[in-house]
Amino acid sequence: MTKLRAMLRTRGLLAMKSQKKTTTRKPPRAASKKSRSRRKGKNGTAAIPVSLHRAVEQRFIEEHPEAFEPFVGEWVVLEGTSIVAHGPEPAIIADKARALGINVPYLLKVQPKLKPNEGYL
Amino acid sequence: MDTIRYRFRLSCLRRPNGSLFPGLAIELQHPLTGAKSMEIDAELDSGAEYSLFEGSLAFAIGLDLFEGTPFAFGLADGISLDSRILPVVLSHAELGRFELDARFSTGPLRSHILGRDFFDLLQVGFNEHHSEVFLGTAP
Repeated sequence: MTKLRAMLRTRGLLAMKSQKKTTTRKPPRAASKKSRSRRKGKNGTAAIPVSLHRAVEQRFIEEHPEAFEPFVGEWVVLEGTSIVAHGPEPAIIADKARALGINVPYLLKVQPKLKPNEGYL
Repeated sequence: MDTIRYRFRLSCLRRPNGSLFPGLAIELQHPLTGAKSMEIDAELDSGAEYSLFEGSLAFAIGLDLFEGTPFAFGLADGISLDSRILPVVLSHAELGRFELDARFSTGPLRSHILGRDFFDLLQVGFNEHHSEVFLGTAP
């Protein structure tokens, strides 16, 4: 068997054989090209990716509205899940946020809760 | 049948008071220096002819509000809202950079508005039933 292999190797046949074997082997299953956000959406808009810009902040606003209650009528700077500055003047609280190393502060104005018979135009 | 291709879709934004609206978190920049930029939530309002931001934001990005050309908005109830026109740069991480002559109110505002002057720069679609907004770069 060893002699046969040596003979085949000298003629280049063994290498060819193993190369062929390598090339015919299926590559490991690649990850799907579609990202999670590209998968079928609830309204059939599957191919359009979802923007995740400020997604962390938006989730925090949705899940923790009570965090903003002390700041009704004020501006706040929200960074991730933290309110890092608040006050009546956006210029001042933006500067406070920049002093904390936040180059582009995300400012929100906290409005009072609407009553059931109120809405926005 | 015509087909519109959108680049992104995003869920409607939530205000801290719990109300939901079709909007965009967008960066407001000084048109020349770009310094002191900040990001705000602005309502996508196809009923508004022009984009409107609270005047205090003009000061905050280093613009002098009262150097702008006066502009009066007529509201639905007939009341006029005083503003000034100032050039700004609006920037979004995924959509790019847009130069716009925006209006800044001389008094406080409940929310900021991206009106049809902004819609002229990109394609916007709404799905109110699913609380989603679609955005594409080519108008």
